[in-house]
Amino acid sequence: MQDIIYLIFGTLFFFMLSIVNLGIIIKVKAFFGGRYGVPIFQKMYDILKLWQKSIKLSQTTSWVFFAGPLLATIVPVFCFLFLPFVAFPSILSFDGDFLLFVYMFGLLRFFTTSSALDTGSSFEGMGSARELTFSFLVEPIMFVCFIILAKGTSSLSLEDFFGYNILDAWSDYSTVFGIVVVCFFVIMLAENSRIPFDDPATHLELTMTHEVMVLDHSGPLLASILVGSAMKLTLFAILIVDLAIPFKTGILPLDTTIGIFAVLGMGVVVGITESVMARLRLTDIKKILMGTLIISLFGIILISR
Amino acid sequence: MFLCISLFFILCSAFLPFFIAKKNPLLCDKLFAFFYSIGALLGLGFIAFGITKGLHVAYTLPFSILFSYFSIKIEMINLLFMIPIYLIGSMSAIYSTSYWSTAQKGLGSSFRYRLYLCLFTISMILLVISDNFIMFITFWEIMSLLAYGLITIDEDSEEAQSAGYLYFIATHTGVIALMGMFAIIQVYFGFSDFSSALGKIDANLAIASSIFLLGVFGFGMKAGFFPLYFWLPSAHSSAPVPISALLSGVMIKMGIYGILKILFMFSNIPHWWGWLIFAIGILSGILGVVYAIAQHDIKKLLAYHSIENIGIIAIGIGLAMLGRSYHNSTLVLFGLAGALFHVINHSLFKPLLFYSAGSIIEKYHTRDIGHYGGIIKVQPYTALFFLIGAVSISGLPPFNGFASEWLLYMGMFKTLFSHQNTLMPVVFGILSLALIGGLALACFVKVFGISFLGNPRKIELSNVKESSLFMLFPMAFLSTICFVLGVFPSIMKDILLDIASAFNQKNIYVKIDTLINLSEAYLWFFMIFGVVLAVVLYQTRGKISKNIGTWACGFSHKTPRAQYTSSSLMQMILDLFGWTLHVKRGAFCSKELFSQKYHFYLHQNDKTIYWLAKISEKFLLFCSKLRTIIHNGYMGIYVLYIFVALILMLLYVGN
Repeated sequence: MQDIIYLIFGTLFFFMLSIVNLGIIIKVKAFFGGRYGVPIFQKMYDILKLWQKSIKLSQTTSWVFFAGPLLATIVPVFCFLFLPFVAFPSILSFDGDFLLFVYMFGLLRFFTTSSALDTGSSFEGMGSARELTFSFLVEPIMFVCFIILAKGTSSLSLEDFFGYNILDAWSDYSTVFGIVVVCFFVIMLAENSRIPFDDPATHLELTMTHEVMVLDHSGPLLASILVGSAMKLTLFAILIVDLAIPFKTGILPLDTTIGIFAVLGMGVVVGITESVMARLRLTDIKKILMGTLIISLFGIILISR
Repeated sequence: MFLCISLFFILCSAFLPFFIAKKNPLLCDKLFAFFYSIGALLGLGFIAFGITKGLHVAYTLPFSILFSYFSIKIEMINLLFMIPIYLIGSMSAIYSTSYWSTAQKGLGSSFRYRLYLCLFTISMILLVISDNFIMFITFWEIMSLLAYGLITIDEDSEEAQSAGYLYFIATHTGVIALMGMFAIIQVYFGFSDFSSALGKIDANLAIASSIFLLGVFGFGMKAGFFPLYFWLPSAHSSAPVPISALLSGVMIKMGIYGILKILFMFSNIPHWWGWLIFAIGILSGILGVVYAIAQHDIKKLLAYHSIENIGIIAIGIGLAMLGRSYHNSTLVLFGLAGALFHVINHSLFKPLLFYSAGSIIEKYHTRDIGHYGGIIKVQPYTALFFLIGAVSISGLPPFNGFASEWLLYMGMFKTLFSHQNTLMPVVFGILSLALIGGLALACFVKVFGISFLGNPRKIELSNVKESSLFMLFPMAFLSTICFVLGVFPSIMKDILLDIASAFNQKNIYVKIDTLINLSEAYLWFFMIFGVVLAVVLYQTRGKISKNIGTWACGFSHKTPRAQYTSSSLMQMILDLFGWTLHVKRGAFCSKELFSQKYHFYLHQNDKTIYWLAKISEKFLLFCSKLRTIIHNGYMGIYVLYIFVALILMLLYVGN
């Protein structure tokens, strides 16, 4: 029972953090563009508006069309259970939970791409093809990062990766862990389709990856997708913050505040990256991802010396 | 005893129902399925009893007509490999009621088909329980021949005949290697059965490596290791669907069983053996899935996925062998447990996929994925079961494929902590398993998305109804087991631990209790799933209207041909693996000023088989050239041959 209450409050907190995080990215981009920008809670208003709308479905679609948006919300919430938030331990933790963490995103990908194909639209097929290609390249990078974390901290669960011995691990293998932070950052940008991998703000179907897959979703389903993508971004931000801020003061409120500000700081970093970089060509994305994979493989060599 | 009765029932099912076949063909088919299922149920009951009681049976029956004796041995590993034989056998028997019905195919064909099917399963059961080499090789041969009969059962299909021929050659090449292997064991070491040789052969002897290599060649030919799999895609795709399910789900596992059996005989295992199997596993896994992605023929695609899954199993066996040679019992446990669990899992979801593919092939008479589309609207249950199979085979939670892959991952991650840096190449296993997982997911999104979703491309959906219950029941049953084994994987943990300790030849004190954690995590998952589903359904009730077309970004002349096809969906991935494929592409367009028609083709095929065919072609050409030199048509030369031969013989006699 206590776990469930913990889960409910955790999810609410996580949800709010995600919304604010997304708002901050938009604000930062607006600042760089010399604009004032929309309010920080604008995403929240959008989602509430969509939530009350009705759904228009294409005649081509079937029930699979619902599965993608539903899992888009469910999977980040479920994966949040495994992830400790700075000083808060994770709700669910066991040896090998990081595999479930990675494979749950696989499940999500299966159903988002399937529900895109369900419309029979050529544009959404294009989005699926791109999503499948990029994420199969991202998955090995993720595993290499986890190999390094497991080896460095001699543990096998997400909670222990970022637990008591991460400080020692940082001091022993600071270079390698630095590489992991960079790799996680690339993964975060790629998996959440941010610039330079994909531009969520353009609405030219031919160039989009993730957004093009949700063209036909409307109403609460679209709201679910928006919530899900905001949460997914924040989930990866938390992953990076857990790793990049290994020390804890021991005072829970202070730690939590630092954590929240660090996650929002990630939002600022993403915003700055998006403002100073242009979107990459599609063919270059593969090269960047493979380059990151090679860099992370160097990490393995360094750590197993 | 139980086993005898169950085999007797299966045998009866092949003959008895045909007495009424002339009067009532449908009843005959039903009776066949019924008798067969009773036999299989008895057999499964025996297995369940054996597993709970820790059965250990060893009999020796006199069998003086042919060989001196027939010894039976039933232990955990035999019981484990018997589960798929009975289960998939009975499912195929039920499925055949509508797929290969007597009324449709004629009495003779139907009788042959059912007789072969029964004898095929019986020979596999006897193969698994037989202990002495001569019986093992006999049943191996019977099984292989019956499989040939089943692949070529469709006499009108030229494709099936040529695929059967290729299979026939391949399997006999394998058998020769196996006979050589057993002969070496018998002559050099004096053992004539598995149990007396158990753990007695010293692998450091030079001859031991040749035993191992012959075994890997012979059994790997049947299992479909890279590059010995060349017979597999064509044989699996041209056999009838229930037979493809049996071949892919059960028969190729006999190769895995054989390899495990010979490994049990060695007292120690050299390091390079483990690395060899590990490397074969990685190669088969990655190439299998890449070739599968390039395929458009749904059955061939599933056959290539068998190679991929055999690769995953081989990775697990390789890990277990490495664990033995490096004295790392954690690796033995997780490697072998993962491999055996994957054997069971693959024998569940692969037949499931074949059955659901058969259910659509029967309706539209084509195996090309590029023709399908939108089938989910007319065959919703088939689509659901195919989806479950697809999610399971991609190794996604909460289905069974994930549980076995999870065990393999855990084994490999745990070696990271050991201070044996020589085991570091195991990280390539982690990476390739991740790669295989990602590619398999992409491949099954393609199959499911292109064939079941969207609009029909070249098929006609009107007038199509859902398949009959005889086809749906096996699919439903297997999907349920896939789901249950996925959510409660700890059902398997005792039997896996038992076999792994037997393989390690000393007790293992590590446990795989962590499997129970997965069930707990899934409980949370289903809770969140339920809440979100309920909230969304509540919010959207009555607000859904389904009366518009798909948004085509302002383009109003929609056609199903504008949809993404199976090749365009995967082309980005295949470009990365272009070096493994034999690509032929070209385009035709009319030479007029305003070209009206443009035709483009792209064929991407297995480069390994292409090269194997090319090499064997070159070799045959060389041999025939050699023959023309010897056999050149000059009478004088032939007389000279006779003369030379006579002189040689005289010299030999004179000495």
